[in-house]
Amino acid sequence: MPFVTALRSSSVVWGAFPLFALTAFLVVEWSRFAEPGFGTAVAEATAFPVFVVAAVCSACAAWEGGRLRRGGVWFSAPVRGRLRILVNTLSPVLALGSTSFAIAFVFASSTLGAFPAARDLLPLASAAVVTVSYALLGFCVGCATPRLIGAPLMLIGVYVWMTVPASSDIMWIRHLSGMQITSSSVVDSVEVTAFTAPVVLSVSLALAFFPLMSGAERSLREAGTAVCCGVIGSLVAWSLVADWGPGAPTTPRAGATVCAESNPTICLPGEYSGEVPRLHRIAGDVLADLEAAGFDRPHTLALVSAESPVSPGTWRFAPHPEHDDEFLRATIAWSAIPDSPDCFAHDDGYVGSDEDIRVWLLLLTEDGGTPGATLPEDASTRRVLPVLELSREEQMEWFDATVGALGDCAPTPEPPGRSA
Amino acid sequence: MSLWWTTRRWWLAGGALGLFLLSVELIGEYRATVPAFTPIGSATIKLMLFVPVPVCLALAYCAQRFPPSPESTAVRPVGVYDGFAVVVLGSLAVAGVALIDALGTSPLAWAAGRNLLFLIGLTMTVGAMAGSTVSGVACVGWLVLVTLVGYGNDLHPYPWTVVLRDATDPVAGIATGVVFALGVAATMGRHSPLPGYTGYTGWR
Repeated sequence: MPFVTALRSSSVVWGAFPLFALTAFLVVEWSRFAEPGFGTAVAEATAFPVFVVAAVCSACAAWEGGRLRRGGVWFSAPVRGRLRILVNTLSPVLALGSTSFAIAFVFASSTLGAFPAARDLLPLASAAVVTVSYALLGFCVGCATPRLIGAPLMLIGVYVWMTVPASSDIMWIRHLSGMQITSSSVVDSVEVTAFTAPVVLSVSLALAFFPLMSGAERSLREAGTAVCCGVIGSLVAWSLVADWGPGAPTTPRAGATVCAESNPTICLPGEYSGEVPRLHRIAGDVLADLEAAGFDRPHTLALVSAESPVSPGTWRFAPHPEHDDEFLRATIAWSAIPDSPDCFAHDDGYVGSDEDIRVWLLLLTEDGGTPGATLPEDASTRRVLPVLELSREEQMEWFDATVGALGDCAPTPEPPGRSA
Repeated sequence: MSLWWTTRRWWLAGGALGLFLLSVELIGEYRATVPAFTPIGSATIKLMLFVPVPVCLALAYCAQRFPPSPESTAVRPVGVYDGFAVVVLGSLAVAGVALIDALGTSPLAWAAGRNLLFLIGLTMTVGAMAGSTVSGVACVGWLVLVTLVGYGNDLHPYPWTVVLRDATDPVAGIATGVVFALGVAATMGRHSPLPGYTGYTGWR
């Protein structure tokens, strides 16, 4: 059957316009919080509406399956093969899904101003496979139930399955619905397993429901094989994410960092390379202040993953193109604080804090004027201001003691000037 | 009467009502965060919102199971019977919800009952006007629609959503009463030649 004929008689025509509008709106909304110019974010934004696209495609497929059931196609003696009938019937549904993702891609790409590389397309590929799987599952359900029940059941079932688990207290279930709840950043990439687990589950579920397609009684062997596919696939998918927390694990993004040799060398992801001249200018000023206070000048400032080890002469920092100069000064000043473990992860009652040394670093690198003039008149500033009156060695001793306490998850010392 | 009962399979709707009451009791106040078109992103919805769906689908399925030719020439008023069945189902739902509320184990029971009546009314009205097969999609489509666009600033649901409002909201209560009454009236009148009537849809 020609595609246009199939499309003309298909239910996708009813759902197409609302779905396209929803898709575009969702992508634009999602992109408001995404990283501009970041290719992976474009793929993630494109994949975000999967919970609507998959639900509508599944409902339409169930409707089409119901039409075949009502027409008694499977019970008659069709000239075409069953697979051919399946493809003919589902081609408008797959076209609906493809067009939705194409619209999503256009909006995401234009909003974020980037084009993803081939390796960034994993979220989109995962969403596409999940959509096809749930469409196939919907078709099988539609072949076995009246249209009145099958189509709405798949619409609400897939929608609820893909949206509600994202906030479930059961952590592993969050990662299986097919809707990605963890985003990659310019320094970290979401692990590939986060995309494969929902694909494994959805494909195995589709295979499990496949015998329903013809509506006829199936042999025990076929039914058993289908059930085994479903059970084994579900177990494999579960085992992939069983020990995960609220977010999917990430790995350092490979080959993304570009270093600009200078004093100091500044290493940034390629997306931020335009910020190098501004960072050089500000870093020269801030590092001179820190050197004067007793710090050793780092040879490199690097924006890299927290999981990537750095050499002793390298300070981590976290600049962003949207930060103004004042905030970048603070970011570079705070890079003097070495890595420390997340003490609150193991002890909710931990009493240490790096707040005082952060304020102190801001006071050291303040851009001229009287100390504290550019900082808010709050308790932290009042508590740390007297530290500046101490000798350079005493100040550094207090800083080192605080950093050591943070590294050991011990209580951090009070600013020394307060009791003096 | 027994033919009418057997043809419609009303026990399916009764079973779905039992499932509804059980779900109301078990789900309680469980909430979930879903994507929504709001100025501040996702909204938190109560899972109880989706509990009425099986009842509405079962009711729509039962109501469409009629042979048009015999029933259009029937002496007995089967349309009135259908309307009566919808009212009985709604009354049983309210009684069950009142019982659960009296037990105090599910604080959202009244809201779930109000939502069920509203969605029954919507399903039956759409079913009478646009065909039974569309009525189920309209019912769940309403739920998807309100979760996506039903929240305004501060994630407060708009009055038109009805099902997202508190159980004590008077506007939602009045709207529910009106829509349910419309649904009952539409069900009773379906056997008269309504313009949108598309014929027997069968059970296959």
